[in-house]
Parts: sequence; C-alpha cells; structure tokens
Amino acid sequence: MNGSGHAARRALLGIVLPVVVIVVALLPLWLFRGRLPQPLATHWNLHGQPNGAMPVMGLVILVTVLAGTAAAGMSVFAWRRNAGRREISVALAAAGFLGGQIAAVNWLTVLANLDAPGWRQAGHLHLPGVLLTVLAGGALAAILAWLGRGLENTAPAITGGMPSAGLAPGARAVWVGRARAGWVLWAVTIGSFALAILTSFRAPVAGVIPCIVGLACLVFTSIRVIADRAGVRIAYGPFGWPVQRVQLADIRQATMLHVEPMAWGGWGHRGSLKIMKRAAIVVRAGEGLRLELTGERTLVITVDGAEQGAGLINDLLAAGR
Amino acid sequence: MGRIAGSLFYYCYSINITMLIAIDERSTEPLFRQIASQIRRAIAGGKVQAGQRLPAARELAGSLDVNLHTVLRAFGELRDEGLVEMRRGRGVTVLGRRQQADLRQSARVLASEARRQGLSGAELLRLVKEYL
Repeated sequence: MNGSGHAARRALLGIVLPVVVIVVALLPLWLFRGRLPQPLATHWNLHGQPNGAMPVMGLVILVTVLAGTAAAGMSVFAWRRNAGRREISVALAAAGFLGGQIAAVNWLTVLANLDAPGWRQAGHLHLPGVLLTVLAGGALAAILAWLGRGLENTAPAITGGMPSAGLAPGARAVWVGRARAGWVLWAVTIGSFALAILTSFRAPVAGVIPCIVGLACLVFTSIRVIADRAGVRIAYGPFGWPVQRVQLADIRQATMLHVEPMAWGGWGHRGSLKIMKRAAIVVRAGEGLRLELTGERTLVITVDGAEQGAGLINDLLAAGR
Repeated sequence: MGRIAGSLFYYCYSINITMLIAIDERSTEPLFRQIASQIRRAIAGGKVQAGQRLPAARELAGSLDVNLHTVLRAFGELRDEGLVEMRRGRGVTVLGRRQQADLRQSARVLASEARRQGLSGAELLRLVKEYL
C-alpha cells in the first residue's frame, strides 16, 4: 500500500477541501458585506420573486452550520478506515454534493440581493442559476469521489495475540471496565445545554433540539463495560442507561486494539451491527475491546483495561466450549 | 432535582473502577473473603485509586451468581478495615489507603498459610512477635 500517498490524499479530502467548502460558501457574504440589504431575501417563490428574508447574521450562521456539516462529513469519511472503497467514495460524493450546493446557493442568494435597497426589491432567482447549483454540487461530488476512490479498508491490525485472564476452570468471574470521554465531548455537551438554555429565553420550543443533542452527548461522556458469564453489557452515561447487551453465545473471540476515533467515523455509536455488520462505541481515543461476533460481525468498544476484559471473555468462551 | 444535580456533579469527577474479580467455589476460603481479597489486592496494587467507585453490590452478585449478602459482607469487611467508604446513594468508594491495603493483604496471606501448615492462632502470634 502506498501509505504516504493515501495520507496526502486523506489530508486533501479531510482537511483542505472541507475548509475550501466553508470558505467558498461564506466568501460572498464577506466580499459584498457593505452592499446587502438588511435583512436580505433568502427565499423566492416559483415565479422568482422574493418571499422570505433573514438578517445577514442569520444567514452567516445558517451557512456556517450547513457548510460545516458538509465539511465535517467529508472530513469524517476521508479519515475513515474501517469502510470499503465504494462506501468511502459514495459518502464523500454525497458530502461534496451537499457542500457544493450550499456554497452555490449562497452565492446566488447574495448576488440576487446585491445593491438592492430592501429585500423585497431583491433580484429574481432564475432557473438557470438553480440548475447551476446542482452542477456545482455535482462537480464537487465527482472530484471527491474520484479522489476518494483508492481509499480503502486499512483497519489497524490487532495488537497482540489472543489474551487470557488466566481464569481457573470452574471459577466464576466478572470484569468491570470503564471509559471516560475527553474534554471535546464534555465541551459539546455543556455547549449544547448552554445553547438550549439561551434559546429557551427567546422561544421555549427552540431549546428542544440543543437539549436533545446535549443529552445524546451526555450519554457518551462515559461508559461502563461489564463482562460475565452472560456476555458483555455496555451501560451508557451518568445514569447507566441505556444498556446494550451482547450474549456470550454471540461472541467468537475478544482482542484488544488501539482506537483512533476518526478511523471509526468519529465519537459516539458508529456503524450498525445489523446493517453494516460493524459497529464501534467510541468515547475517546486509545485502547479498546474488539469483539468478533457470529455472522462476521465486529463490535469495538473503547474501554480501559481492555486486555484484561478480552482475556476474561476468551476464558469464559473456552470454559463454555 | 437537587439530588439529580448532586449525583450529576458527583458523576463528573468520580470514576468507576476497572477490575477483574474471580471466585472459586471449590476453594476452602469463603466466597465473601475471596471477593474482599481481590478488591483489596487491586487497591494494594495501585490499580484502584482513592475516590473511585466499586461496582454496585447487586451488579456483582448477579454477575458472579452469588447472594447479594455475600457481596455486601465483602464490602463490609473492607469498610471495617477502613479501605472503602459506604454512603447511601453514592455506592462504595475507595479511600485509597494503599499501603494499609497492602499490609492487610500480606497479613491475610500469612494467616492462611499458617492455617494451611497447621499452626494455631497463638503459635502464629508468637511467630510474628519474634519479628517485632
């Protein structure tokens, strides 16, 4: 494998292009900042007449969030290592399409508003222009798909052999492990709750979404992993709920590995055992437990003391056979 | 509400421990002693630090397939030794007297070895006194 070529391509796809998408999307707002009505027209009816407006700052925030989401999508998939070639290409193309379209739509919006005395006097949004946005999205999607075509499964090798905890035959045992999130997840959690409180002052309903995001993040700020004769249980968050269970009978073997969150698609519960036959519970970088399940499925869990846990699971499996 | 906030705050800085507990029913040692002994060894080995929480008694009892009272008795023994603290709603936290745990564990090993060799309690005490 040409590792350095891949690294350069990943950097281009995962860092350079996402930044370019955000910059290009926001550029017209900065370039023409003195020549736009306040608020500016952001929505047009089928005849091309403006029928909706938004403060300039509102559009800046909206475009930042949308372009940021597309850029984050590109970034995540570019660094992803546990996916097949086609999966990466398609995901990159989708993120690129979204990013290209957002950038193009923002350019059209700003140009239509240029030098208008008020948003109702903003220019028409013509059909060719709208088609152009689809073309821009398509072009970026094609570039990303082409660049991403060679990036394939280079999942890091399992470290060490088959661990054992040295459980005596006939003995019973339990292993309890835990993992705590780093500051990033805590910052997002606290930020979301702060946003929820702040938006609630304006409109209580608006606080619901950041509150849900905050709760979803809170659940991943720590996990507890319990391995015993029943199998493996993963209890999430401060309340130990929800709980995910894996039956011992469904486990073929357990090993330890090093987890890079970006290689698994980021933090949280990534993938799906049912659909992708691969899932990862990622709350931090570092050591993790890798469970090879029946039906060629793999579950990865970031947890401290993973080697001891993997050892006990293997011993329990050996005792049951 | 205050209780939820309190336990959330507690959660932010307290840590659950990572440990392995194995018990063997065929051993002559009672099960609660085996459990206490392994927790003590984890504290003595420095794997478990002050402020960390032990797994809930009910959870351990379920996983190890022993009576809840067996686990509670093990926790009680560790509390009496001053190694852990039991507080309502907060579970069992380690006080982190590592050296004390180490010494107690050594004493326990010494006692069981003496028993195995057929020494009486008085004889063992006399033996220990020789080194004081």
